[in-house]
Amino acid sequence: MVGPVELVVALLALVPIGAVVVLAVKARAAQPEAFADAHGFSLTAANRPLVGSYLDRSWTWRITGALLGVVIPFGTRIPGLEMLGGYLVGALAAELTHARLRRSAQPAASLAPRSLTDYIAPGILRALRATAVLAVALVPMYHLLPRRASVTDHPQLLVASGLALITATLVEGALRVIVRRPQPAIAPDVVSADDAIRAASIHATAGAGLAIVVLLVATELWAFGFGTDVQLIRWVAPVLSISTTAGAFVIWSVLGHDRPWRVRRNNAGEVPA
Amino acid sequence: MILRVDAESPVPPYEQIRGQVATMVAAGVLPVGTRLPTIRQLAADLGLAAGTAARAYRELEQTGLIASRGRRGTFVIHHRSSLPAPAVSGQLVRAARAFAMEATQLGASHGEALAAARRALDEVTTA
Repeated sequence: MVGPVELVVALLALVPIGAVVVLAVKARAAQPEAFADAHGFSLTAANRPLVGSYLDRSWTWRITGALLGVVIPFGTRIPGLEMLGGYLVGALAAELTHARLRRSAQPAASLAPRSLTDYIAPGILRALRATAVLAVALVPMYHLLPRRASVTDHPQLLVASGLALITATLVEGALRVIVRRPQPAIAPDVVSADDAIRAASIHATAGAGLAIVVLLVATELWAFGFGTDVQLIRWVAPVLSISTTAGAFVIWSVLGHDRPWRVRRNNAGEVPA
Repeated sequence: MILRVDAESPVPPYEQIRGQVATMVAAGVLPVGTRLPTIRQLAADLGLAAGTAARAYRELEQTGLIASRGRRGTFVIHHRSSLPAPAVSGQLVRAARAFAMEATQLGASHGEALAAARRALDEVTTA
């Protein structure tokens, strides 16, 4: 006899498979023209090969990573975690293996500084940090609440919070590395395409990273529901956990795929005291 | 604004960076409050060692043109003395003569040379 919990877990396990299929179809449709439109630059003979190669490479690596995450069981028993982890690794691999801009015989550089918030909304970075802090804060909260007699401890709570903190730290570090990647000042159309490619890689990495951290929080909430003796939390926490799991996939779907973004570079301002 | 380093020039790269930034500050192209790229970014973009960019920034700081504000970055702080108009004009004429000489030696027509100059100006000012 299949209980409601097993049924929910079985249904959640189908989510990553469906997500990969949707991603594969959606991302395959991305063409250089659409990418250029979404990122606010013009395609030229000089930047088209760069954009085309990036779109192909990023599709291949991200889908391969996500599929490997679905196929290879790492035994986390968190629906979708391996898939999201695979997608994140694939997004980073696509960025790392992407062809770098070549310097001209006379190296040139722009005097406009690059910062992470030129390429992604600061709110997403704040959300990543805040969710990781929440994941850590849930551990002492769990221990403060009265627990059911049958439940002694929940080691996965500690593992999930640690993993969330490590993921958030590594993801933010990776985003900063992408921004720091050298950008010699060559033709402006090539530099604009390179900026758009950076923004796409940053969104894919941040989207997958944030989704993983949110999913880990959902796992902790699930453990809350089973571990606590407080009746209200026993009912509310699993509902929150399922909604948060769904939220993780929405975040990944909205942020993690070539989200339109126009890079803002500005070095004018007041000198801080 | 674009900064260029000539690897074959006898002038050391740090001095080329320092000189170009100082000229842009004096000419008002980089006004007070302009945030400059980090040493690491500038060095990586130019393919130079971080120490080279750091030395250029250090010398600009010592002359009071720029100042580091910790994690907030490095800023142009002083519009030391704007280059007088005749000086700007003189430098411009010298640069134009050098360009005209090279374009003529390459056999470029006036139209081709002017078009190349316009393209180069567009590239430098839009970057």
